[in-house]
Amino acid sequence: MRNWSRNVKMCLSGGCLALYFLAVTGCAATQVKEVWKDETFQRGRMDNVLVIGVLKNDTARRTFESEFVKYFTSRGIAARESFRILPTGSLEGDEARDALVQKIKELGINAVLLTRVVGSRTAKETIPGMTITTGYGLPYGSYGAWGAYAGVGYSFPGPSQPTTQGYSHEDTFLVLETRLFDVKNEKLIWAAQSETRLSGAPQEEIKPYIRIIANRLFRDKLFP
Amino acid sequence: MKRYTGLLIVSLSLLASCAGTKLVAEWKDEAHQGYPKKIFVVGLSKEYGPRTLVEDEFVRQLKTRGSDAIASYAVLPGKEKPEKEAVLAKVQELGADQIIVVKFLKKEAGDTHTPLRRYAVPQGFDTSWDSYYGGVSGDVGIRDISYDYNVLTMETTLYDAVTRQPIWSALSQSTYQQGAVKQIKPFTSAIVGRLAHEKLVP
Repeated sequence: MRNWSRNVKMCLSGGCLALYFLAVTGCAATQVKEVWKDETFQRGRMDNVLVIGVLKNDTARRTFESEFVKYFTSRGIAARESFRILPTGSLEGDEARDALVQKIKELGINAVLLTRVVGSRTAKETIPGMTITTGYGLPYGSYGAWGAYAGVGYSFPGPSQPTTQGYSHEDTFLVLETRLFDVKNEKLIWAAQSETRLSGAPQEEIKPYIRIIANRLFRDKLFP
Repeated sequence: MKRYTGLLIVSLSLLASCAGTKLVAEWKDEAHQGYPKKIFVVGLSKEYGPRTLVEDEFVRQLKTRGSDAIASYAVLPGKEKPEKEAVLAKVQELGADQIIVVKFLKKEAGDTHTPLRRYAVPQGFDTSWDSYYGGVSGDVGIRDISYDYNVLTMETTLYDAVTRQPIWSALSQSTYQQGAVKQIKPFTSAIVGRLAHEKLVP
């Protein structure tokens, strides 16, 4: 009997956990679409990461890189924001790569985490208008009350038709790609592509995006 | 009459709620501590007039809070956008330890409206005695309310003049209906207020 009770409790808590997980992931603005990992990669080599966010806006870039650095640091891995060593505009042009390689060597960095926007798309959704009709003789607004029942004698000659206007809205999705490189051989070892639904300013999605991607990155056991 | 008063209140509150400056993104160097001694204020705008107004307002508000500040237009020659090296040289010459750069990014126009709302009531039933006798139509409603507005997107960055590293930055959007110049004071208040909140100015 006690075992049965314990099993029920476990099932219930498991169900609650699953529902919670479903609610959290189902509502998230960022959905990871694809993840690739180099299965031959040997874990444990990378402990000094340079975080690069290729974003047009400086505040967004700083927020993005600092959030990732915070995440790495909290897990005991040294990390550095690129904006501190490569100022605005230095991520563009032919000379950018050479400057980046030079800095990486100077600072003893052994992994580069690079995120960039690879595209965007819009999806239109149309919500049709709705009419709710109540039947003849049903009192408006006081259904179920004795007074209203008694008043049916002077009921309305036609049905009531509260209506809502149909409308359509467009959702914009930002496609982001985060890639992790091993500096030693300049090889790609991990990549994730995701879509983020923008419901406000794109900058508001930075922190949730990083939480999702960083969790995935650490789940794939790439760091010591 | 009551109906129109209600409509007016709704319209005014809609207009008031959308006006003002909102920080859409903010970044701060968590390691930074202490207040500046002197801030060099640079407004980056294509037009000289708005640049001087923005710089003057920042200087005024920073001084009110007890931080010494200098407007770049007052000490740098020419009406063109100041060159980075010229700014740094002047900053060093004047002994400023921080630089605040206010950059105009874009201006967008938009319009908004509340959708048409229609309250349907049964025919022959109305809200007052007079209209009960007079009316046969069933609909009582509010028409949609629409208005135009502009959104100015600005980026403000506070730099350490010695290390040349950013200390704080914010991306802001100012929504307004009247002239952009009228937004300078509330915009500056929002930014300087935020700097004070983050303990970056007194």
